[in-house]
Amino acid sequence: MNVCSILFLCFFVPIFYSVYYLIPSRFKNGWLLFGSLLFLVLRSSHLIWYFLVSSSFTYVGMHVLSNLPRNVSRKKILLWMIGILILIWLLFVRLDSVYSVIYGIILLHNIGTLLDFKKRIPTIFSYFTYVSCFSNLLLGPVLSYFDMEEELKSRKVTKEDFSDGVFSLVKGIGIQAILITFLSMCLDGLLLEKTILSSFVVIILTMLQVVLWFRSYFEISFGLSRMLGFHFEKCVSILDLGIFSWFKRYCGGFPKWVWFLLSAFLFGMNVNVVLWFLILAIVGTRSWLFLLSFVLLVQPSVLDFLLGFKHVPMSNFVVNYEIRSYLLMILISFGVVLFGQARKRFSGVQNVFYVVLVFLILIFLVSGTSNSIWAFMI
Amino acid sequence: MKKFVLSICFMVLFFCFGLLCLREESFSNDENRLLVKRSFGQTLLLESSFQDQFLYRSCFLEYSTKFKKLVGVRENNQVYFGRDGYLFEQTHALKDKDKLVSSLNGFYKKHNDLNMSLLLIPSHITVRPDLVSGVPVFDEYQEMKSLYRQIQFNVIDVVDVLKEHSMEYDMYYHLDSHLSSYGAYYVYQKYAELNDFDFLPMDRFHVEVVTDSFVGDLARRSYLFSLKKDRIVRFVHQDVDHLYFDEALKSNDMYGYFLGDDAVVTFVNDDQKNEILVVKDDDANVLIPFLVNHYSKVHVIDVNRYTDSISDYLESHKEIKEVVFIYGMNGLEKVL
Repeated sequence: MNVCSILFLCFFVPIFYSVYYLIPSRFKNGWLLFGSLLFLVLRSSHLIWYFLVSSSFTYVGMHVLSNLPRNVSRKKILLWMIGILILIWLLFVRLDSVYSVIYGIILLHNIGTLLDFKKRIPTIFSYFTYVSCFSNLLLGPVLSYFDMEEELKSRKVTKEDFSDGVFSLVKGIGIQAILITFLSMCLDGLLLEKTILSSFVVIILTMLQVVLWFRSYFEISFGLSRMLGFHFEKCVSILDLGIFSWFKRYCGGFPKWVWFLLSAFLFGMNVNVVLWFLILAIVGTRSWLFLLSFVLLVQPSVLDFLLGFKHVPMSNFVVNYEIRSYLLMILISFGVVLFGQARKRFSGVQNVFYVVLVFLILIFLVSGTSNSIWAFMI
Repeated sequence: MKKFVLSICFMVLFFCFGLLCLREESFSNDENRLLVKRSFGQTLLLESSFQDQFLYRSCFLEYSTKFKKLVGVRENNQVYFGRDGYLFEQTHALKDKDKLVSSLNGFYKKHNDLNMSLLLIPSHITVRPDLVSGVPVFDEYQEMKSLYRQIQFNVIDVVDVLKEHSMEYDMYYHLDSHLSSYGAYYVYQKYAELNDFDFLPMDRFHVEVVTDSFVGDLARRSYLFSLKKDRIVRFVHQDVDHLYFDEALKSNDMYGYFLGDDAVVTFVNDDQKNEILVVKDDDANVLIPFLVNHYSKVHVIDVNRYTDSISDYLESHKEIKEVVFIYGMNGLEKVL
């Protein structure tokens, strides 16, 4: 299920959360697990089998590790388990490569728990709830089970949590349904033109789209979690990609290129993706070069012009027209990237802004949204 | 507190909105297309069905286009927003011009005993570029001229005549890409001049309004359904009711009023002598009623629907002495 769809926003979210607030606290995690499994099934039926097999194996693995005789090397067994988890992942991801990112996140959740686990074994129910939790899956493998353990046991949703969550969800979906759609339309037009100006604008807009993409997922995930009563927003920032934080946390001892290659492997083993991660290994994740390398990967044709391989004009009428047509939305996108993170006090103007935003989201959900540049990733 | 109330309102609104997507319609009249029906087997289909089955879908599609207009975008689905309620189809360079030229010239070599001509109908934007500003317009007229230069038989250039009269009458519809009856009249006039027969002056025709609620293909593509609808008129000189299809006026494809959608049609006029074969695409439909006044038999072949050989058709109709190819510039690629 795409989060930027009527099915998610108008059916899944209102029904799931209404029931969640109405049922007694002791059933809340059960309902969350059910909702998360439904979220996975609506993406792909293979996903749910993968989740069950992989998480059950991890859970059994935790029991095995906690009861190991003294003469058996824990490290060796752990490595075997990780190997088997990767094999299971490989088996499923080949069947259903469309959602390789979600498969990768579940795998990392499971491996992370095995690595983090010391003595205390969680209950199977709360462990499954942690791995499948939909708001967590949208964020990436940022949080380990033990970061969430306390709130998984007991949590309260205040009025402020609920309203912050809804507003954040609206903001995140607004970014995807409106801004990313407009930027995609502009990119579609510019990519047909071969000029120096269009190449530069394509690079800037693709970078902008990448940042907006992560911002939107961050906002959506933050919103959905807050509405459930989770508070993990302080752990992550927009460019703190889930997958990188995971590798930093668990594979910090390895040379950088090893965990970047591993990430590439997890992201779908596409040659382009492997290349991108290799570039990242060289330039690092937090610099603007990270974004640039991504752009060149997605839009390799712009390299030809930038490096002067082809004699091309500076600009043409079509490029100017495309830029002029989408200038306002490009400026708004920049504004969201630069100032959108500030969480100011709620005011009447914001009130009106959010009401308009909600109507625009509904309009664009009906007329169709677009995010074509991401097609290669999933 | 205000924020909390507003958040609840948003959730209620989302849910109510969802309920409006639960109808079961199979066809959209405004968009003239089949709608995706609800199916729980595939999530993607289910998501599309909710989009398609939304009760006020046309309204929301129109709002999305209006929002695009508001933020400065000047097109939707390759349709430009012009001034005074006009919509214009984008024009493009022909991808396989040489193939078209060689097939037409090859056909002429095979049938060089016939009086053959090619008539290309320009796009509206080529005739009235003044009605749309600041958008990239491909020079279709140059393309047309270069194509004409390579053709070895007669060619008929109608751009000038359409431009000349475009201030007097609407040569094209506001919301449709096809030539209007007035445009067709001037094309017919030009055709008559170049083929040495006397065309009928406009006052010899009785101009009848057929409908004033014509929503054309451009309105459907751009989702601007509430613009002022067009009038379809017909030029009547004699009893020509068999040339028109009244049922089409009750359907979504009102332009089908001219000639319908048969692959081959033949019209007989006992007052005249010669026979002509018109090989055409949809753009020429409106022109046929004018030609019927001057030929004993007009054979019309729709190149997009006819699957047999045109040469074989000519072999079996030896009385045909004249052949005219009439294509719209924007539909040329389809006929290749």
